[in-house]
Amino acid sequence: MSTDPPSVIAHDRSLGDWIGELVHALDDDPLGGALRLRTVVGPRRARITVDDEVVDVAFVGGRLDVRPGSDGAAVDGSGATSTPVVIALLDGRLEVADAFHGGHITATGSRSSIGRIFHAIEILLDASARVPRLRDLAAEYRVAVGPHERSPRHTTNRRLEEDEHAVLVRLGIEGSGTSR
Amino acid sequence: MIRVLRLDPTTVTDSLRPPSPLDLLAPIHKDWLHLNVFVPDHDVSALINASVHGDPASPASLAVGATIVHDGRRDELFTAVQVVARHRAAETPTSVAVDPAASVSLHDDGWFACATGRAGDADVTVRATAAAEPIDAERPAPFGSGWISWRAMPRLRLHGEIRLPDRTVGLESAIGYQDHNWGRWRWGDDIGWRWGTFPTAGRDELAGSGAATVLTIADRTDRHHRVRSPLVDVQTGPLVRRFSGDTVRITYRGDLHDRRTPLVRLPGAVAALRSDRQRPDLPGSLVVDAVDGFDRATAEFEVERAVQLITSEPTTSGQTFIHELLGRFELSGTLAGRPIAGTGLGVFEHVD
Repeated sequence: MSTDPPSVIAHDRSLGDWIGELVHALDDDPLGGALRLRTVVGPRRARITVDDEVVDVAFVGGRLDVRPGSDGAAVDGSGATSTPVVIALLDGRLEVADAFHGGHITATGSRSSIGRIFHAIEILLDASARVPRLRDLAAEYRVAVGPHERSPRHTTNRRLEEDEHAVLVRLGIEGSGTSR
Repeated sequence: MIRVLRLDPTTVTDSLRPPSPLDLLAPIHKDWLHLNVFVPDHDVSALINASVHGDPASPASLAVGATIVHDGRRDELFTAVQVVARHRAAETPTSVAVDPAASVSLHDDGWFACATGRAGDADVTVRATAAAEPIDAERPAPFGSGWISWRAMPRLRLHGEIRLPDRTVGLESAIGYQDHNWGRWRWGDDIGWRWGTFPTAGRDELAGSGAATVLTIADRTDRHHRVRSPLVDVQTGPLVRRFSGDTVRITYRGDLHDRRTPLVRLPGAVAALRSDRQRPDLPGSLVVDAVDGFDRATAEFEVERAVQLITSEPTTSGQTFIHELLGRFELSGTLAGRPIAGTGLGVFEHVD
């Protein structure tokens, strides 16, 4: 996906800076994404790792609190990935499910905490259609990180797809692919 | 009923249809220009789409440029979707440009339509003249929470080129198609459509034996395709035949995913949000049959590649999924006692 051409590129943004910009941009969502994000996250703290950068994030008094990640600090859940994976996802060359199955994204924590981490990401993705600043940030990120020719590509997990398809057909949720 | 072509297509004019300042449905305004290129000699197809979504006066309004190029010889797909704030696109009463991904203009410098597109390492430059009778469906038809109107030029004569990484393809022998859709609806409404164009390779003169044939199918539906209103337009030489309602049947066969070619889904951020649509129920092939007891036209279409374009509503939360199926078709039938037959490259859209 391409987006609005970035006007100013901050090549030296840290992971914490990018997260701060994303959360700030969500204030522009007319459907209240900023409030929903804070409601979903609540008092929890998460550790986010991209490449070799690690930060701990939380909302304190409604404001985003970003601290350098520390193995000793307690967090409720954590997620990790790499820049090439983020770019491949933005380009539509990699599906989220494939990224998990391929080990390109990892998440640890309680079921509730992991669910909330991905709910928070979904709020950001959903708002991207309505908030120009979020699209700008995607474009700026792509330019800032440079080309990633060897980023993961879409792969088809045939066995998994067939198993899922069989279950959905059995439940009557999906057709068998015959004449409609 | 058979009609003999009388309209001079070069006199047909069209323009974007922006809402008036008093239009209460302006926030869900849609207007898009679409142009297809088929080069059977080189096994290359290209789709270029430039569109605007939302109230022109609103900062939330979007412009989207999308280009898809399929190089069948190398089975390589080039795709680009560029979403920008509408004020950053170049828009005139007859054109939308979202540079560099896609631009489409009507009645530009004496041409019926012009378009440019860039998708990865593929570049498309097209200038077109009309070579058929237009399909006019301007009367607003109910569509989701609003309505839709459209018109199409089912066959174009082309000039220009498609630049691919390993070669440049001239468009002297290419066939084109152009349409324009506009109206008021929300992406994510209970809407869908099935649409396709199947132009046979060959002479595109408007009269004379041996002239090429083009079959266009348009079917406005709900999301689950239970409510249908199909229209098939067949033009061969001077003859124009239109089928509708129960005389039209579209039959899906097989499963696209059996082909083991990954479905490209764009924009990636929205695809990540809608991972539930990673494996949509799409056919590996399909048949369009139009039979009324007097005339018959059948297009058998084999899907080679597919792209899922996810369109988002700029002011609310909702998406619609436009599946562009690219491939080859074989056409057969009889019009006014005259056999029609041919093959070519085509495209079919399944939207839900």
